[in-house]
Amino acid sequence: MPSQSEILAALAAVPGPDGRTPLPQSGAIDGVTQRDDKVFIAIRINPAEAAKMAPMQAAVERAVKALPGVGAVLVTLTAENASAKPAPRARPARGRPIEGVDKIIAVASGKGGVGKSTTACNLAIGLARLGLKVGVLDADVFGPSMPRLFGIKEKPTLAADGQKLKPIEKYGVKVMSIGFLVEDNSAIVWRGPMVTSALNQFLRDVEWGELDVMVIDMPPGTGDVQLTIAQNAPMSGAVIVSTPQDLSLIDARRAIAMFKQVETPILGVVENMSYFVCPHCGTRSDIFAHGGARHEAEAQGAPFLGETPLHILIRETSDGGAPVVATAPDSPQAKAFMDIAERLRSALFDTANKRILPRIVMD
Amino acid sequence: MSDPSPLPPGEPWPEELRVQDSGAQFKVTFDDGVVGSISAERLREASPSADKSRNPPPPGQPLAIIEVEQMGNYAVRIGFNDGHSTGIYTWRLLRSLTTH
Repeated sequence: MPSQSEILAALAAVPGPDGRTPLPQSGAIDGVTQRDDKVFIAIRINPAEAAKMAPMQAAVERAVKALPGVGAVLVTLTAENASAKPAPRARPARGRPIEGVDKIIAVASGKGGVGKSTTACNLAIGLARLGLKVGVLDADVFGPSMPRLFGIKEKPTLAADGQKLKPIEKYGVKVMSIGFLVEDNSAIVWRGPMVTSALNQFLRDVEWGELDVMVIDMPPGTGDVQLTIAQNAPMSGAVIVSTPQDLSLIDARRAIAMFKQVETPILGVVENMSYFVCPHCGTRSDIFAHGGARHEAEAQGAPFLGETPLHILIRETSDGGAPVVATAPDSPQAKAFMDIAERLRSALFDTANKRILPRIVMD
Repeated sequence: MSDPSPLPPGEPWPEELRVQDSGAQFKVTFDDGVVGSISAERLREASPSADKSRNPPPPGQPLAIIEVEQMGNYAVRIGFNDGHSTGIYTWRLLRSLTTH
């Protein structure tokens, strides 16, 4: 027979009556009892919604039935006692600030392969070199790159409280990535709600401590997951990474539009793989054309933060887990990132983001 | 999203959202000094959610706001005692409900 906690763990995959909060956290579970190989679960619901609860009831049965040693599952829905109407409450908002974290910025791109994660990694280290306390949250759950970029092989451990995960610190930056928890070559095949709950845990259940800036490496694109992250984390702004060719800029425009839609300011646009200087003859080639991201930023009314070259040093240090800003800080390539980090810092802290979220008061 | 046009900088931004009278009134204070109350009924009517079905509130109780949840930087999700909780109210929508 499974234990109570095993049953509750299985129920965590089932959304509660509101269709979103995992059942064990929804407060709707009235009781779980077991006899022989039978499990009885009582769930409190709003009687007005009883008809809509059948799928939840079925999902609970399936989830618990799948546990080894369970013969039968009986799920009863009980009506919420009308006189015990919950008092009005300001729910712990998903967009609420994260304790100890001052600014949250997203590094995003409209499409993959433009060097978003490499840029996020080097900018984070750059910001740390400028004296800020920095964390990196690798939200690119489908292709987490931070373990490779930072050269981190160890697994995160539990913090002293036994509840939170400790981020791994390297090059002066605290890093957390789903990549620490899964094998390199195992695919992460997740449905949207699983991604959401994983990201919420990474935001809230990691011992970030005091941070001046949290850099979130977003998954590429402008889909459900990206919107969800923007809704879940109160962001100070977004940095859009693009390569200069039109094909990439079209998608960068979409990314800018998405952040505007959720009232997240665009801190600026970075042009990556901006130009190539031949190491043999010194000739500069604008492989993907040049300056496209600057023009696009201007057209969108967003600041242009700078450009970084297509250079073998960046590629090698990135693949080798020794980011160029940390390991070759005097190289021109590192300087390109440092310039952007400085502009980012002043965008974040000088022109202080005056738009504070409203107070929510329940009288 | 029902309100695709971004709020340009300089547009009014709410400073405080206050649920009053046991959830019957929603008072919004904007940073340009505009203050207004929206009734729960009106707010419920204006819900931008795709789910337009309406259930009555619990017997003997007037319609009331029971939860307000921040969504990112741009909106709140408001839950009512009739079970409806999927409407996302952007600052702009709250502004137009406050002033019109």
